[in-house]
Amino acid sequence: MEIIIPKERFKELKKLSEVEIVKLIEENLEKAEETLKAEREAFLHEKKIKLENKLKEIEKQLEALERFYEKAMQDREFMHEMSEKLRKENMALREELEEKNRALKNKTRERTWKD
Amino acid sequence: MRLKIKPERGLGKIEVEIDEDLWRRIRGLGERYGVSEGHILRIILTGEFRIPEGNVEKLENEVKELEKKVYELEKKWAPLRYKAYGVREDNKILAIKLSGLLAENTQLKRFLRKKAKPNFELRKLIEYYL
Repeated sequence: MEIIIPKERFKELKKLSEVEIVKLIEENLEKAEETLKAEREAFLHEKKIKLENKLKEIEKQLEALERFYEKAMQDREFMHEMSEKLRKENMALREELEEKNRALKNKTRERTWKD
Repeated sequence: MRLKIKPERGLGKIEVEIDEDLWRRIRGLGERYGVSEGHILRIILTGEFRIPEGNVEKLENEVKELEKKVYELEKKWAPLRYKAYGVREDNKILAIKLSGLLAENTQLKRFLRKKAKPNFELRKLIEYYL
């Protein structure tokens, strides 16, 4: 295994014997664990902030989606009613128009016969 | 395990033999924190030690709780989005149908010389869904 360290630190370690370096590693394992905990803490802090922001965003989107869904359901109901109303109204108007056309035709026919 | 220590710049190296027991302890630490043995050795050899500021375990639980909340909301959000999309599509079809019915209504009223009352609310709704 190869470890690259800053030049200044390397110079300091160079002054130590192999036994002293192994001892340094052994004696500092606990400190290394604390450092790993601190690194994990920093990572978790960052993750927490990201999650809090994501949560806010989802809550906002969910609220907007719920509002949209509710309104869309009301609109659907309203458009159904209007569609039915217009269908009936158009049917009555078409009958009225046909009646008018029939009356007009009869009138024209009567006039032609008279002439 | 033979460990080679080299400087970032320049020549030279230090070679150290790490015995099996110490290596096992380093590896165990690495497994516990999900980091490589090299990372741990680098911390020790550079002497860049840090101390946690607060309670890491508490923070871990808070993150887990937040993850759970996000998951729950996402679970709720996905089907609602699907349902909303469905209603929107239904409304679009209804808007097309209504647009046709309104045009027919205006035409019929014109033929019958009847006054057509414009329904602005309905027209706005149709435009929105189209």
